[in-house]
Amino acid sequence: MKTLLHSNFIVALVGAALTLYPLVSAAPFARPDWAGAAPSQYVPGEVLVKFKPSVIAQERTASIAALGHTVLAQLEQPGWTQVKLAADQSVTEALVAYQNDPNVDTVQPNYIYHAAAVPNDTQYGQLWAFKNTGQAVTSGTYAPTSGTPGDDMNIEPAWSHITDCSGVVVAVVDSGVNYNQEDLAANMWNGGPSFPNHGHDYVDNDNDPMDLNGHGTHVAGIIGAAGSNAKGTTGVCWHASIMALRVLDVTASGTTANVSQAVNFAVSHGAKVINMSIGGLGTFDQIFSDSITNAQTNDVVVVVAAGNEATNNDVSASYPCNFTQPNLVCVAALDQNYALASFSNWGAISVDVGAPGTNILSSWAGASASIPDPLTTGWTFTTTTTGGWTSGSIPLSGGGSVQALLDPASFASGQYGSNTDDRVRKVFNLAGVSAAMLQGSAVINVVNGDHFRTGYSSAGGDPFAAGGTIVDDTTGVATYPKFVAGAFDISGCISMTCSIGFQLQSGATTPKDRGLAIARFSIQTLTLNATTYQPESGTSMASPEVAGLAAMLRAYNPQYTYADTVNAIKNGGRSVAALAGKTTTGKAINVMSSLAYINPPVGLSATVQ
Amino acid sequence: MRNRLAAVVVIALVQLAGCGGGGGGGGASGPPPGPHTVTLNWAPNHQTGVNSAGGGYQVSITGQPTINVPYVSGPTAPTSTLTTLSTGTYTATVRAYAALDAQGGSAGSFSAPSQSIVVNVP
Repeated sequence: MKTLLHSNFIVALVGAALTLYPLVSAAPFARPDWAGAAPSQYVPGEVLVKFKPSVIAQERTASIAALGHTVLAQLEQPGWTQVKLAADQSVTEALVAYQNDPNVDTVQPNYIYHAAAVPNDTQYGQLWAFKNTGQAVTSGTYAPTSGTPGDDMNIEPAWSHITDCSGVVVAVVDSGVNYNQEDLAANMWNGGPSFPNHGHDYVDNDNDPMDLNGHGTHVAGIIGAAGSNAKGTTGVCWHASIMALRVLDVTASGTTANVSQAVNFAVSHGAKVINMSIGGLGTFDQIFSDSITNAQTNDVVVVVAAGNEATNNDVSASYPCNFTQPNLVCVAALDQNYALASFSNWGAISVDVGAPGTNILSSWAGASASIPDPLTTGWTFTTTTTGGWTSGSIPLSGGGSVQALLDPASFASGQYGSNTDDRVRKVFNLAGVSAAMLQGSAVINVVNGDHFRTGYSSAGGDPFAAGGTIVDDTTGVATYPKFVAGAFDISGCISMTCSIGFQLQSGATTPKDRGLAIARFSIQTLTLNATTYQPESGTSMASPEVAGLAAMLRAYNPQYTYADTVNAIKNGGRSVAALAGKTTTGKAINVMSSLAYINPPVGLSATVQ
Repeated sequence: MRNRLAAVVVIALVQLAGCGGGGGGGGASGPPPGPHTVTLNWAPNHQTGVNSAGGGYQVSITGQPTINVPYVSGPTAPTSTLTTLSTGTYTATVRAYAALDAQGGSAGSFSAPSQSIVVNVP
């Protein structure tokens, strides 16, 4: 979900610590299994033998010598001897030989342990989702900003086995991806000559899915920011193949038509995992559902966010989370103590697993800035009649007042006039930014076919004259009070002389009503760069943690179907109290356990001869 | 060496099968009573670890020693095994294993058992 929680980027150089992964203390594996273990996992030419307590030293020596072996050491662990094998004998052969020796209690390879793979990315220490040491996320905005050591995805042991998921294409259906970002450029999908920018843009219907919001770049970084490249962060996968599919515009809004097309594009162009950190629609969407089914038919895993409304999706449906196709995994967000995040939706029937989703540091498309306006000075007012717009304050029901642009000036006790064309505008310097979004909120009460318009002109002057662009035209709002918040893409206004304005245009029909009060106004800008990182919170951030895991599982197990992958995600998870009764599994994802998870065999049959 | 061991196992099983198959006469209407060779098959598991060194399957049959079916070579571990069973009713399951464990080490891990089947040996 597009989160409302933003914070400024703070450069934090945190040294990556090399840690030794704890030694495995599990009981010796069953004989037939280690007998076939990969030679790289143990010391060649050596085994460790434990003789039975009743066997005296001479008998031990005789047993070893009979096989042509020599004693390397009597280990401090009672009864254990480290044995050097004959030059021409394999460990497997020796294991079998000692198994058949009645003097031997236990024998095993001399396993080799490695330091867990820890990337050297400069901000790795901030990634609590991967390694929760209780560290504080420096610029985190969600409380708590530090948590419980060990409440993480248990991913470091898995990185000792796989970091390269580039064989599995992951589609990010979102606001696009800044494919030039320093941690993503090397991990973008190669779409060949037809898709030179690593995907497709369904908002502008071209082949340039550059992210002009930031959300999609953040999601992509969680899945596959380049790992151990000594910069920025790392993704679940250090090496990835990320397909950028832009369906959300500058304001992070998109349509069913574009989303379903993007899903079908991903499927037809080889993606095996799709992440969609989008949602909020409460009604079943047939074409969207059909695209998920198409993904299922083509063996594609679809991972989606549960939603950020802090509601039960089983009661108030939220799509795509509530789609029921078996290839879909819906993800709730956990905080740094593995409590359900305060904003996260849940659902014992509809939500599958949880994953870290607060204060998640990842790549961003560029530098964000806000240009607030106090709605006091600098505004130009025009009207065809008397009265019209003014700057003033309106009282709040709870006490106090708020500054606003008002029409009429007597808002909300008076009424606006008939046959009027009231306009107000102000010039802002937006030169040099890559994208701009107008955010505002207003009380609207216009009736009888009258219009409340929002517009801009990049050349300055009157936005509602020739050459201007109208981004919104609202009419027929009779309910009072009707509070409306809006966000509009005004990237077409990027210039030194961006004039933004509002218009109240009325006809002759009476009666009129209270009119307008614009009580909040700001411009959010994004200036693309390749080096910005920032923490975000939302189920939008939890979903790509799981999508990255899906990619890792499919890369490690190329024969995996979507069903195998989903089973491993769900069954390999770690039971978390906060998710009990809140999700279908009651589990948070556990990367290493999912990697080791083995699906039960199927199709067992017997023939008696 | 693993190949040689596997070959030994197969030869032994064939010999057992031969003994079972030749073990007793029977009526013309069906298999004769007594030990019979039973072939168990299952679908290949998709996990890489099952189909590589250290992986394989274990077949469990009530009242019988567990049968190990390790990966030997090639793209997949074997997905069938032969055994000899006396007259009776048995329940069989198979589970897969791999060298990788849930802590990231090589202590190994098993799948849950497959759905069980009932084997009636006349």
